[in-house]
Amino acid sequence: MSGRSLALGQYYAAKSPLHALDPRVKLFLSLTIVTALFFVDNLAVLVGAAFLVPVLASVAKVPFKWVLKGVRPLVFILFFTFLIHLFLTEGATLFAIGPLRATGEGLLKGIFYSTRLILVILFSSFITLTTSPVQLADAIESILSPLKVIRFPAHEIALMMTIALRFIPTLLTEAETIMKAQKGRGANFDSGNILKRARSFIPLLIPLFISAFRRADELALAMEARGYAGGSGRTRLHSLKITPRDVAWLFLGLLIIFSVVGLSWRL
Amino acid sequence: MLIEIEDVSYTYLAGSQAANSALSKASLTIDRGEFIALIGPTGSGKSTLAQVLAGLLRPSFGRVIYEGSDIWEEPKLLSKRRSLTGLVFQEPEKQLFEMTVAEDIAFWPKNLGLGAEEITTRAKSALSAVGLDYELYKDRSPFTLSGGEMRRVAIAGILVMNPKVLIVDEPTVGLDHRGRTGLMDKIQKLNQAGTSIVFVSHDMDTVAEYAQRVILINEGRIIQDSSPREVFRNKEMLNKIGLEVPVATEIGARLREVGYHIAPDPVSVSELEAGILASRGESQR
Repeated sequence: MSGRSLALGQYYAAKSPLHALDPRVKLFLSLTIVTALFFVDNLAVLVGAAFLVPVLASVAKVPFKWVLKGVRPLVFILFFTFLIHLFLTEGATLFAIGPLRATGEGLLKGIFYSTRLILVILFSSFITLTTSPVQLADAIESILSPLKVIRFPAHEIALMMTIALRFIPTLLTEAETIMKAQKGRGANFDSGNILKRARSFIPLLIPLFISAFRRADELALAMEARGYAGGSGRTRLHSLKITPRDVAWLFLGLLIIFSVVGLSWRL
Repeated sequence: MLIEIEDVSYTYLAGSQAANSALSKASLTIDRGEFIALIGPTGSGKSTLAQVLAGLLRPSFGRVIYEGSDIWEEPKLLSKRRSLTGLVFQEPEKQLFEMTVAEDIAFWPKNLGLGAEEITTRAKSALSAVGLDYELYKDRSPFTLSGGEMRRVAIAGILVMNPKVLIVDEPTVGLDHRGRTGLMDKIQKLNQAGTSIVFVSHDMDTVAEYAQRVILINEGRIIQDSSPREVFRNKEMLNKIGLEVPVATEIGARLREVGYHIAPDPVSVSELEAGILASRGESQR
């Protein structure tokens, strides 16, 4: 009854070729892009590659603003990276703050490395933007499944991921209720020193853990009652299949990536 | 007047796409010694209203006034003023966390820095108010108790505050018949001792049996605030929003339809019984 719906991660539901693409292909392509970005050592090419971000966004039918949101949590790290390069690179002094000397070479290097970092974040964010968490878990299971030969629990890991994602909103709602209830009993969650504050979370965490364990128990029972017996022999409603279209996208993607890297090496 | 709320509205996730109005322009007053039932279909805003009344949810608009002062005006005094009311959430046993029953009940008094002796006296009377013996239960872990006992201990953890207004959200959910009447009788005793009670309920028979006043809420609006008899008279409207009338009211109406002379609108089983007996006496004469 709490009436709040929680947007999980940053998945943006839409119908686009990128959404329809096999999640394994998407994972592979974005890994390749991120690796390729580290091989590009030319600022001009890097800035050129940045123009591919809005193009990709429009193919994915995700608003460009929404894509940029992904950078927000990392602004501090970006800024820090920029400052480190700006001040710690040897070269001609631009200006100085106390003992810190900013250099022209540092400025260029700072811009280069922050741009690279921003692009890594932006390109890899298309995975989570266009793939639902469940699809992603399926893809990971499928990619890890060859390791089942050496008894690696690929199915179990994917299942754990799916369940964890599914219950984050439930846990949040529950934490909110318990917090309110304990506040009604005079609990204070936001004052006092660190030790006091950590202790004040005991009345929240213990009930939360107890109900999480109980829920896990009940879920296990409910799954068994519905015939779940682990991963072996299990079939799925939506099985992942590579279609000719997926292959076409894969090669198109690789072509673009390699031409960008090739271009930067020529220059 | 203990509590007064004026034009209170509450919107979840205000300003976002998912904004969801749970309460709009609700006004009501609560006096000393009242026994009020808060009824409405699922998602009507009952629980939100209960939390606003308890001072745990800050309304988006409107004022919440405890004994003449607006509680949200001065944040410093909030936690002190809040102790006028005690809110028992749905399934309150989920909030137990201490090693022993006594310690769990002592959570509120400890937070307020009361002395050990005062805490023991309060805990004793709180536990006896829910029908549990302090000496027998104080050293037990709350997690070894039965479901019904856990709920009673959790309610005692609220009663230890000696609230003037006790607000209980669906207190009898998941209890068997005996647990239900036992708990409601304990709540009635508290009411007779002077505590105002507000209880949220889906169970119209319990509402008819105990409440003196019924507040009906639908889609975030208070649509009726009157005696149980008057509220349950309007069966059509109640059915339309997904609520039932008490069994006794239903049976009384059917009996009248087939020609029995039963005083109109019994709401509780005892009233229905008296009505049937009176009608029998009449026909025998």
